Amino acid sequence: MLDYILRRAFVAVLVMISISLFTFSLTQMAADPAVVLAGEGASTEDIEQARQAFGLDRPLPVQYAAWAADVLRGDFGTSFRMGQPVMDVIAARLPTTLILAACGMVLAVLVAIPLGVVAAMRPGGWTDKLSLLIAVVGQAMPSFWLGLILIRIFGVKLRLLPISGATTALHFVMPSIVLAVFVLPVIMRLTRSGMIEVLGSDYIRAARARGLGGNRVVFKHALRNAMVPVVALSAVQLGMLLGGSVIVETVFAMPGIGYLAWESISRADLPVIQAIVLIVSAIYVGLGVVSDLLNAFLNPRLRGAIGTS
Amino acid sequence: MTLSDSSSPAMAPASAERPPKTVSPMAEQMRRLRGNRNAMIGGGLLCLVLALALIGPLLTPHDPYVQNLTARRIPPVWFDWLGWSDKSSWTHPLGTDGLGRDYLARLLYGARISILIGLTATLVSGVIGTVLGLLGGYFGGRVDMVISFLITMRLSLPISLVALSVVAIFGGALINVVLVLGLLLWDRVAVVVRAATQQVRELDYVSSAWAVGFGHGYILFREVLPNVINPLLVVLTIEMSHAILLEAGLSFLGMGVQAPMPSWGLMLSEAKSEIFFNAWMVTLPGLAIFSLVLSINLLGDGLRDVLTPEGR
Repeated sequence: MLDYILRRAFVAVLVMISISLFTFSLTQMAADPAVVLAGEGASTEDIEQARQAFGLDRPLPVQYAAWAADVLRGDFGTSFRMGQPVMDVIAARLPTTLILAACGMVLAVLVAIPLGVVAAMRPGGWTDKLSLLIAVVGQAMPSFWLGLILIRIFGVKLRLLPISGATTALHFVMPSIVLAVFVLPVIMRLTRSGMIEVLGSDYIRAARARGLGGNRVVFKHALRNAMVPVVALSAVQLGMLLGGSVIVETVFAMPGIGYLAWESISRADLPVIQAIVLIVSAIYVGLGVVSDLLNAFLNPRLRGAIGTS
Repeated sequence: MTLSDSSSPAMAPASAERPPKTVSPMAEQMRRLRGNRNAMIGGGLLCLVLALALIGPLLTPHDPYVQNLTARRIPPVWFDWLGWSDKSSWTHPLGTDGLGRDYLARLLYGARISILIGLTATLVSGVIGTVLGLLGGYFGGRVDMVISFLITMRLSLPISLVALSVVAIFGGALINVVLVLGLLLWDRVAVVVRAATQQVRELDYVSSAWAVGFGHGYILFREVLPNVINPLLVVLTIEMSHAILLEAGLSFLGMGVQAPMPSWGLMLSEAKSEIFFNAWMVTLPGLAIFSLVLSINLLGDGLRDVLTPEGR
């Protein structure tokens, strides 16, 4: 087990290094940072001066090493647009995104797992068909469209919910629904297929043969086993929600890091973009490790079989 | 890379080893596909969208780019039937947008853009994913370690953020959007092809091909690839709907297909400000994206049931 954790952590570190190289080169390709720093209408001398002042005349590997060292200390540089340290800007916005992702995830799980269980109890029955229909519709629904429809119905027509901002709990209702619909189908399908598999297994049939009633078997024995892959998948999906927050936060003008990313991208605020990509990736990698470990921890049968990926 | 191997002589007919007087597997699969409701509904809907995209110009006399400032924000024709508006008529069956451009024409041309981007991005990601998956699954060992690492790395990148940044940096030309999506969406293809290749590799006919003295390239592309084609097809349909949704999302955020092109995502973004008084402008392009993605997903579900009965 320890060996597995160490190997998994090693891969995670390698992945983070590659991603940092990727983001670094991305911003190098974007524009000459010296030109951006010198500002608009700067003369060639100003640009040269900026290049020397910020150490941009050094070889790229040296620049990367310096940048990476700063990043490890939590220093992502200064935002071109706001003039504040990038870390402060992001720290101010991160809670909104995290709360939103958590709400969306909780909502999705609360709906998806009961739906999946009910569907699995009678495969092919009407509850199964209904849940599959919900999954199919949810998967094809563009989240920005769903967001706009909700705004139209609950914000404009019924005037029940605020349509933009993130100052009260009510502001989180519609965005959470949109995020929940985004992840619900996957969790539902996995719960359903896991339950069907477990319910068909020998030990459940043995429990039934011993005379245990239907619902008791389902909830006491089967659900616990079917949940193993679902828990692991949910960790990965939580990361997807953070990445997917760009669209939802933009639709509802919520001041989270997704909206910040969009603002920064439209105004070429490279240090902020770089930091957001890196931070979200780090969260992805972290959740990926957590997911794999959960899988291995909850399901000892897998421990020996898991490879490097 | 072993690309040179794909230029081997013309393909032998696949039916050469078919035993006489039995139904070919292909025909059997087609028969089961016809019996699959998901596949039929999805396939039918998809054919409808494809047909509309192809014959689009015949269905409307309007040009999707021509603005008419005297005919702005005309509601669709059913507003006239319902007595909601006296401006709407059959001249613009689905109304006009904020610049007076015919909405039906823009939706029809938008279908072409969505389908074009979906197909080409899937082609790019399909080639990358298949090559990586074949190599990793077939050779195993170090090659597989490198490829597994590439897959893990790709899975750790937030797609929408990276796609947004890259398109913002290189510009929203159609080719950039296609390349970005293609370069980001190969992971699932690689995972699936790799797993299928690992299974096929163990089969006797592969080792006998090796024993007879065929090279790796020949075995990979002529013996292994045809036998992983089923799961590959299934995963490609999933990726295609994924690519279409992502393009719409990017365009919605203003970082994809650029105005004045009639991309559905872009139309939604332009209609955002109309949500208070002309909500139908939001409804129609969204419905178009939804239908296209739904049809591809249903077809994919059906294909999965028919082609890979062992998987899920």
